[in-house]
Amino acid sequence: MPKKTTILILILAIVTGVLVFLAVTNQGQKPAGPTVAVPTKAPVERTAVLMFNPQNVDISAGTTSAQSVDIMVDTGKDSIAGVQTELQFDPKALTNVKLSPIADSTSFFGPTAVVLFNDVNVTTGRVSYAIAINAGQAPVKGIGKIATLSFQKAATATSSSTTISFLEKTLVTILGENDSVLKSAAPLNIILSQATMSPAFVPVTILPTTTLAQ
Amino acid sequence: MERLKAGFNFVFSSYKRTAAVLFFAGLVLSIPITISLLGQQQDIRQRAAEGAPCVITGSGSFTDTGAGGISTDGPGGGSTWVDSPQQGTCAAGETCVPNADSGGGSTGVIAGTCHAGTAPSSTPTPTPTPTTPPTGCGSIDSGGGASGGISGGDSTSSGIDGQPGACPTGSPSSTPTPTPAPTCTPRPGGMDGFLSPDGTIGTPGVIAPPNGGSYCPNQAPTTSTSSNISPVPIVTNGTASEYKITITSTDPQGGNTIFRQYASVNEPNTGGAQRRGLVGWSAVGFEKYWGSVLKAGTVALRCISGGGAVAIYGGAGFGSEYMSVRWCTTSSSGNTRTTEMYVSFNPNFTAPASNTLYGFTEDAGGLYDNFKSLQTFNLATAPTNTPTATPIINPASDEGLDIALKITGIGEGAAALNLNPNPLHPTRTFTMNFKSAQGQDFASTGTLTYDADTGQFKGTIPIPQGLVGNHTVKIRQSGNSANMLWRNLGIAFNPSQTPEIPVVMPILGDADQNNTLNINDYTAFITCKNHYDPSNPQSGTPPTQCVEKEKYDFNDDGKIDELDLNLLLSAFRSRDGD
Repeated sequence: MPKKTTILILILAIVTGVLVFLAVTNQGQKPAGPTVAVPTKAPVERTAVLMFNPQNVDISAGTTSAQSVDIMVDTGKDSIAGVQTELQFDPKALTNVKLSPIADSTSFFGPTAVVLFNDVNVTTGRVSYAIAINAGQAPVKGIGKIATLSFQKAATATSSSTTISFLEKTLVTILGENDSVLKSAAPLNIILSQATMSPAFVPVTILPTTTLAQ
Repeated sequence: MERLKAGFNFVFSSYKRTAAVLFFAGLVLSIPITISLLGQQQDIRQRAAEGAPCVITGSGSFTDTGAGGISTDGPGGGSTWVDSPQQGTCAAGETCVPNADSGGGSTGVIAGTCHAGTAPSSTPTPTPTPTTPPTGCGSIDSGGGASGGISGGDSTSSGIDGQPGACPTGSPSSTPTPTPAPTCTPRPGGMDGFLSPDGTIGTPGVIAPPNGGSYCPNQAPTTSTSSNISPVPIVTNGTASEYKITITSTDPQGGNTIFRQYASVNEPNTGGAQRRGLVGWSAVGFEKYWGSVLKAGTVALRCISGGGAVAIYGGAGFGSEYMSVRWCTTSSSGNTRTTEMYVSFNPNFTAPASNTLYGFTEDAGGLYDNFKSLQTFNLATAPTNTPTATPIINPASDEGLDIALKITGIGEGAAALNLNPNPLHPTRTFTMNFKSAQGQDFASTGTLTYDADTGQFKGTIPIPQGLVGNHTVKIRQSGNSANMLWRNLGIAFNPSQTPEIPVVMPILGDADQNNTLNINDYTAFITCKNHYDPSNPQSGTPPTQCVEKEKYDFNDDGKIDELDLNLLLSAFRSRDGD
């Protein structure tokens, strides 16, 4: 047998051995499932959602009557301690914007809830509101109302629609953690005028849910 | 061995035979490799099928076509919501009404159901139907609340919606012989800005409290009997700036039936001077009762004892810029209720020569006695728009700024003020920031030491080298127990001049030192208050937020308690650092 052929056979044998070893090794690891990096501390799972109810309103009929919507929280898997909502609206489109805290027996946080602040800046269109459990109160899990937002169409409104959106400083907190557990917050969609809509306009448009990043 | 060698020689004696051997060898190798790849692919498919929830992000609009409502009908049709709230659109002419149950998602996500027509955005509060004759002094409901209830009523009010009531028979005008009870004068509902029981807001800020109820000047069983303010209000230098206003009221049906008490510094409605602050206590005390009339940036503060909460009114004409409320206590005994409201005055208080403290009381039946003048006091010695400043050493010669700093909750004062005269950390490190007009920052650090005589932390902080021109100067505590917002000293510092620095009143509570008070600071506080609660001692390692306990012990008495909680709630009235 030529010497070259012998060398080729040896190389092939080694390669074959390696491939067989890899194949067998992979099969043997299959029951253990995919490799998962174990962090030193489990990251906070973000499962809370903030939303308006209803999520779409039509106030194109006029500027005299106030429209109210509830601000809801769905905690998902978490038991939460408080919510801070930072809302942005267009002061040229909306007027008489008021946020009424819900801190009674119908409140998500119950009758002992604490309202930390409730500021409406009609100039900048900013609403800052925070409500939380009282000290010693157990965190709360589930779905419920935390506030009612009311507003009217401004006489200066020129656009056919507007939104009230949650800003990134919006937070949902749990005891013992610094990180917010807020996963997403959906804006409120407001129809201001039907007259200017094109035939193709969909009366109620859902904007993509905003995913809030830390 | 010889045979094996001969066999090898035969097989590999030509290129054709060698190629054939290699082909079969490759064929054999491909079997385990193929098996491995197939296994991995199966794994991926299985994981995708088992774990990935059907999350629909709501991108783009869709139309609900399912009879069961949007909770079971995703944009692709047939999807089941298991995580995100419904992001959908009802068909034209339909309105989404929230489901009473949790919807179709396995995790109980709220969803709605599409109904034809326009549905109300919320379920209206039913008007209560009287089952018994009115026993209180019910007023005719004249507005205020969207639900049409008595605008200022509350769950315990006996006034009946839409009906005038009779005054209690226990009123002075009643006689043993049955006579028609005098009808009270209904108050103009909807004129006070309180929240109605259903949570809606009346027209704000036109008339002060109380809301609803009836004015029974001749029959009022509830009355404010005394009020006083102590110590004698003389606002100086930021010291002794906290005062206790005590309102004592009586009600023949018991002090525990007194529902609201108010104190007003001056009362123009009764011929007094311009208001310099109106504070109120409510037995229910929850924030909704104060509605939009609160001073901007403030909240109602729960009483340390006795229940209820105290708040300060905002809006034009109430003088909220002159006063802040800090905390309260209340108690009832027999026919008497005594409520203590702790307030502080703006150091820039420009008072009339003479001021009058008014009291106002309302009972659970909605009866009230109107504002009564109960005490006069003089704030004429109050300082003024230019706060008395602490003289500082000429920086040109000493290269240091003398700082005096008053920390809320620490200092000398009447026992009732709950000040801690002996802080556990009398020497603290502070950092000062000098910012030039061009935005250049310079830092300096120094220590301030507690002075028991004045209740202030005092010391000299060096001036950084190389400062030229005007600088704004800010200060806050540094180190492990740092919990203050940056505080602007209010001076335009120039190294060539001798500035006067007023006493600094820092704002506490910023545990994470991001220079703003938010829900994270509050959550961290209650986490640690719960952890260190002496009545419920916790074992094990404290939560990460609570390692530095001093951050939350605002009055530095070694405890994280209700006093600290109230200090934090008070701090939320000014949430952003300078």
